[in-house]
Amino acid sequence: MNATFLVQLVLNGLSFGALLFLMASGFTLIFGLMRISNLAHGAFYVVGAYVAVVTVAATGNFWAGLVAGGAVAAAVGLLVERGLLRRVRNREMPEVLITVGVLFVLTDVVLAIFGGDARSVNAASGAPSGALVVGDFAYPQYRLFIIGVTVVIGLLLFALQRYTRIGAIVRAGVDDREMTSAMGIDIDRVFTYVFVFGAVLAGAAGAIGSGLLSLTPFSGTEILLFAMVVVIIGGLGSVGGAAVGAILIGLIDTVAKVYVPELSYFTIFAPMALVLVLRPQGLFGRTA
Amino acid sequence: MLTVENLHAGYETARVLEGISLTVEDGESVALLGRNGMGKTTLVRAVCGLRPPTVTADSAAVDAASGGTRSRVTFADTDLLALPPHEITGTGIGLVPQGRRVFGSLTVEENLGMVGGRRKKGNGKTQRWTIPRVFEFFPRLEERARAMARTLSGGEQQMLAIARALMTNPELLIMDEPSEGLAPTVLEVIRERLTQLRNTGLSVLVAEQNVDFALAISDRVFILGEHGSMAWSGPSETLHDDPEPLHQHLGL
Repeated sequence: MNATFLVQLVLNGLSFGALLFLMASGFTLIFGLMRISNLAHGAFYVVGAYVAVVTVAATGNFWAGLVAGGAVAAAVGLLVERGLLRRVRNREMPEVLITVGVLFVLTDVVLAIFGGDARSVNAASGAPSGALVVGDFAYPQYRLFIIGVTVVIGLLLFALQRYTRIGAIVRAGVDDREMTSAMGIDIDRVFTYVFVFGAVLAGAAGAIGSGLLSLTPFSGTEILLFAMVVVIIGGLGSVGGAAVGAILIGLIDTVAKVYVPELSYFTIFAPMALVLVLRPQGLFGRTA
Repeated sequence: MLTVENLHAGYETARVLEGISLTVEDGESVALLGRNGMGKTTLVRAVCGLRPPTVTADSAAVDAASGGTRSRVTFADTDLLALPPHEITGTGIGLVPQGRRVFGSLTVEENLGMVGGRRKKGNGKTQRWTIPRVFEFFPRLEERARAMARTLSGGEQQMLAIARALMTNPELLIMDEPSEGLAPTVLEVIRERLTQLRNTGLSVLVAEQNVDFALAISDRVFILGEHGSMAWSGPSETLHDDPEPLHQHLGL
């Protein structure tokens, strides 16, 4: 194995990890605040991805696809939260079942409209494409672009959480929902914002991912599985944990698929099982 | 100002309050005493809109079914039972909850800055509370402004819990066992500050186990008794002169 190959492998792992972070950060925030394992998150990814594919095909512009994918995912998220979840607030079983139902129904809607054939990678016009060549090292620019975009989003998310009043309110809500509302905060409204924000991130992940991974109506369910592993490893409710978990799983999965492809699911679930045994609250989670 | 009338409240497994009435007048400080399990916290939670407990007949439908034994909680002519907690805070009620419940992963400053209620507009009567003013009131909190609230001592957390409630600019401060787990010297500081607050015209309702502390900061006392009823009420001074009701209802 030469150094060039190793660098490429690591960058592949980081770019996949970047996508996972976009999914996992929203998922973990929603869980931290609302105590909902939002399985509909996978549907937001697929919706974002297909909207982006259609938009890019129509406009030839990657950025239009990204914005449209995020916006439509936001609208769907708003409908799910206001129209469905709010009606069963604080009843865990109906909440989880509704998010599962939304995942199945939206996946099938996408299947009915677009068919089940895998789309090859969305030709991302307007986004960097082609290869970055440095000496005899060549690497797809799009993957570097994904890493860059995600780092920017991650830093924004961190700054928002850490330095703004709304960030403090969200963290207060994760600490103690009841006291947050007793301090005069409309917690239901905060739920809606966070839920829609998570949907935007998932939709953006879909739009970006459609330029990286092949796409079927079931891609959302697949990446949701990875995102949940990331969140369990990082610690439910922790955005920093989601970042570390996403990098870990992105790297592990990429390396494992090259060297031991027959063990591909084992190599992500084994670390998860290990974390659950040794540190059930996750690497960055706090004990209740 | 605050009127609780015929309050029935309880949990799935137990009825706790069976027709409690009490009032807190404008500028008055009222202590709510009672042995453990008599429903002090239940009353505080019911007034602040925190659920559980469920309040019997807190909707018109139940009202009709139960034949008019409707629980009523009003504050400045607003029906609190119809409001969610954040709107109750918006009417001018600040809560210092049992166990302090400061936001541990926020700094002291963030705990104060996140509150809603009347943070921006004030209560229209007294000078508006701001972070600098709260720091002046509790200098210890300014020293710990950047510390995570979970790293504070019990006394500092209690100061923060009070300061946080003040930031909502309340007209009525409701406190649930503020003396719990505090060293006597710290308790003395809290008592002093509460006296200062009372002198500004702030109304106070304090549920307490610590009778000396409660009597020292209140004008009037209510004692909760068995079977979710009010056992005794009267001026605090009466209990100074004749502590018999304390012996009888608190087992002191």
